[in-house]
Amino acid sequence: MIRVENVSHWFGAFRALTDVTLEVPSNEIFGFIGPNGAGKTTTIRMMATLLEPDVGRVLVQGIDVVEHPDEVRKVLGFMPDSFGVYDRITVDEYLEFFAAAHGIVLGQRRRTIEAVIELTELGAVRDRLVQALSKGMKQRLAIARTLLHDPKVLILDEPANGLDPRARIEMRELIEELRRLGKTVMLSSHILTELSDMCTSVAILERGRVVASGSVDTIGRGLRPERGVKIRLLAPPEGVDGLLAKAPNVLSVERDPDGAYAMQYQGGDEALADIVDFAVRERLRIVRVEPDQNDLERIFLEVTKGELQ
Amino acid sequence: MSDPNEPPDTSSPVPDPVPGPVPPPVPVPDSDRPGLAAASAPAPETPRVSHPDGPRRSRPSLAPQPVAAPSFVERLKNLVLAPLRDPNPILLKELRATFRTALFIRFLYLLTGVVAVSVLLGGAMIGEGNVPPAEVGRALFQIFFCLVLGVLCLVAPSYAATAVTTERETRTYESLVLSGMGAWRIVWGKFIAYFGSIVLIVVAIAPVIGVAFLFGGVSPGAVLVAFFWTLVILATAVSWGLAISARLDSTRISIVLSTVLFVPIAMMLTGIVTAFGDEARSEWGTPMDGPFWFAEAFLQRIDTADGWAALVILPGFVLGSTIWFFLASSVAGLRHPGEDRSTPLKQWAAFVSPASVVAGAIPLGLTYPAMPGITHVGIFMTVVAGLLGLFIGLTFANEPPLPPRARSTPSTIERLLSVIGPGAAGTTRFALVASMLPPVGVATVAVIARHFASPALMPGDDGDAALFVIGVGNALVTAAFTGLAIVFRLWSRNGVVARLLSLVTLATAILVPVLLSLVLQPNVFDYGNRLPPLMAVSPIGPLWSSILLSEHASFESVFLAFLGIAGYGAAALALWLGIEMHVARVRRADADRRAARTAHVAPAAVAASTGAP
Repeated sequence: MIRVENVSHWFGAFRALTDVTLEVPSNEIFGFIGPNGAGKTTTIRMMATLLEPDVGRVLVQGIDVVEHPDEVRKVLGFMPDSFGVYDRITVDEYLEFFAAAHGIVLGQRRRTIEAVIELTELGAVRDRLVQALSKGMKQRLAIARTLLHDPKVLILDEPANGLDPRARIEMRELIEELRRLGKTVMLSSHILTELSDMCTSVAILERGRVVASGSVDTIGRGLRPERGVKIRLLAPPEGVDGLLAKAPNVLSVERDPDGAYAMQYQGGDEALADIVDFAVRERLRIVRVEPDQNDLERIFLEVTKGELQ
Repeated sequence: MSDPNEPPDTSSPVPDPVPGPVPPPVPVPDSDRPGLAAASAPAPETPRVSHPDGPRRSRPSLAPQPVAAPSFVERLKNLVLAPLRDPNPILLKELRATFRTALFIRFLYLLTGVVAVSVLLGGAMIGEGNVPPAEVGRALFQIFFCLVLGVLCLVAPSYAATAVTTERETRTYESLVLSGMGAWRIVWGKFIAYFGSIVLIVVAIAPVIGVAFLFGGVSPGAVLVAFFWTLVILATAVSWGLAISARLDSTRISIVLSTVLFVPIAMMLTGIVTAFGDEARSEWGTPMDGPFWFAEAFLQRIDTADGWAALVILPGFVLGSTIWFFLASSVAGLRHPGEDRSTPLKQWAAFVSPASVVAGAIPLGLTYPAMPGITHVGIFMTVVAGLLGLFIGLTFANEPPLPPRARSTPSTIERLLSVIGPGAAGTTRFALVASMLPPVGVATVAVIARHFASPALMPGDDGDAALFVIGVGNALVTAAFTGLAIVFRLWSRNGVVARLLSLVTLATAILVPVLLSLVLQPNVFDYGNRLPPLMAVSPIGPLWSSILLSEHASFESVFLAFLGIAGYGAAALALWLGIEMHVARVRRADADRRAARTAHVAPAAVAASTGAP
């Protein structure tokens, strides 16, 4: 869906990107991660036809962004990290303006706007001036704008930036809804927990280079094969840690100060299911199973060096 | 986040979602309830997500709906009515935003009040003496239009100077570009929106001119003519502000620059127009003087060819082509440096270059049949045409060596036109022709006019030779400096630097021969019919020679003049060939680099790095 091939770019003497190569598969939510200044926005702006790579090429749905920017813009929706909205017009007028700008014919414009308003749940504020909207609503409005021409690919640069928790949850739901609509969504974010819940694949960028790329599971397993899980038991019997250590695929068991048993095991979800099954068979009364959620955070910390950039 | 396998929500008015892969959106049949059709359409279902405000309704379809193909008559009707039914979206957006600004409304009230008070006070002061009422009416007419034009010439460019810079500063510009709106559509939308606001200000002030009718001396036709030209001048001001705005990122700098540059030009032009008024008064006996003399003059000369030529066609051409240039320049300014920026300006030049020859014929026609006058007017017009040629040439001195990488499938016409760019080589060819045509064309028209004026020329009349020297000479000087500017651009990679360098070179080439001639021989310019030898290499050599030739120059002077012109011709040719060879070299190097890169980017490399199969 999106291919970035050996892209390098300079700003004056500063080399912003070095031989960046990555692929965003179709109908996925792809996370683009990296510290500040890693080159995420530069790469994203190239995908969005706003910047020409000095070397290499970028293809969106097989179309070269430099050679056919107009064609790319027809299949791409882009929401930049900091964007402006026209203040003295209403939400409805704003969407009408962009629908007309996209060349949606007059007869279909109202229908398209209604569909987009419904999808992004902006109906309640449609007659409000854009300047009166909350940050979260403005983000929704920006996404609504990117959806007007029914693009196949959506690039959202820091979509949850500056949103309160409720607005973040709503944004995440909206993004997942968009994927269900058949769109390929590329996200860049600093909030790794947000991305780990949503993204099926990621690319990690550091100092203008891709340091890891692929599905979260594949990268995680490549870095460290073992996974962690915490199990809480009701009235654990004596020597339960030794018992748990006998469970299949378990590498180590430690009791946390909060009373949970932290286990390291090898394998994926099936191995975890076997461990739980083993515990039930041993009549251990499980009250909670907490697999390590932050695979992405761990991956990020392990693959990046954390140097100042 | 809801679980896709959760039980269906029976409170929902739509069928239950089914987990699984999502089929592409299907076209939804039209509905009697526009706007809800998409939402209520039986689109393919997907798992619904939970939401704090309750469950979502069925997923709306964003895919375009099928539309029956319109008939030929309908298509024609749509084409004509489209601007009314569906105007440029920027126009509506900008007008809405403008009229919802309190500042604009306050300005409207304030300006109307100031103009009304000024006109009334002016009327009271002028009318105190024994001034005939018609004189008072005419004075009020001048006061009103000078005030309106003066204030709005300050307001219009600074107001239009915010058009694009505010989009850039508030970061809405990228959304506009990504919406797929072309640069022309954006510029046109901005232009008509900002000009529309200015027109509305003029309309709001217009009733004040009614005071002049109380005194008489002014006809309604003159008021209409004055309003028309006021609006044309204000359109020029708006397009100027827009052109500045399209090239800058800062609103403040844009406002200051557009106002500071426009006001002196406007004042200078007002002075010239007023001076022409004095001339018209003595020639035609027009009743009114002052900057708006032409309003009554036009009505007086409406049934004469010279009236139309001098008061409509010539100013219309000058102001119309100026507006077009600023709009084309705005389009170029909006485009990314990697895109084709020269084509809009080429379209302008392709019209202006030959049209200037026709426009140049108008003063010659007004002079007809006074033969000596024709020669001198011809020389003057050819100098003006040479300056226009130089301007056209320098306009195209910012072209990168290679055409932009962005390309669509070219049509046959586009393939044929690729010989004139984009890219430095093609653009140079175009710029050379477009810059040489006005001086050569105007000089040729002057020669033809001379022969019409007096088919049997007197022996020893060197008027034709004079016009030939100024025409061809100015054309070759223009070509040489156009080529030089393009060479400077290729060397410095900066259009502004290239233009400045070529203008500095031009000024040096004019001044140095004059100074050197004076140093070598202080009384060199005292020999009436002899061209100082060093002046032959000056860019104003052809002008000097033509003036001498029109007054029977010596053979030596003629020879020197031709030598200088030949030198400029050779320089232009050498520069052009140099540009062609340089561009060919760059093209080869680019092709080699691209070939090397294509070999480097193997699909396997991508697959390996991404883990893709």
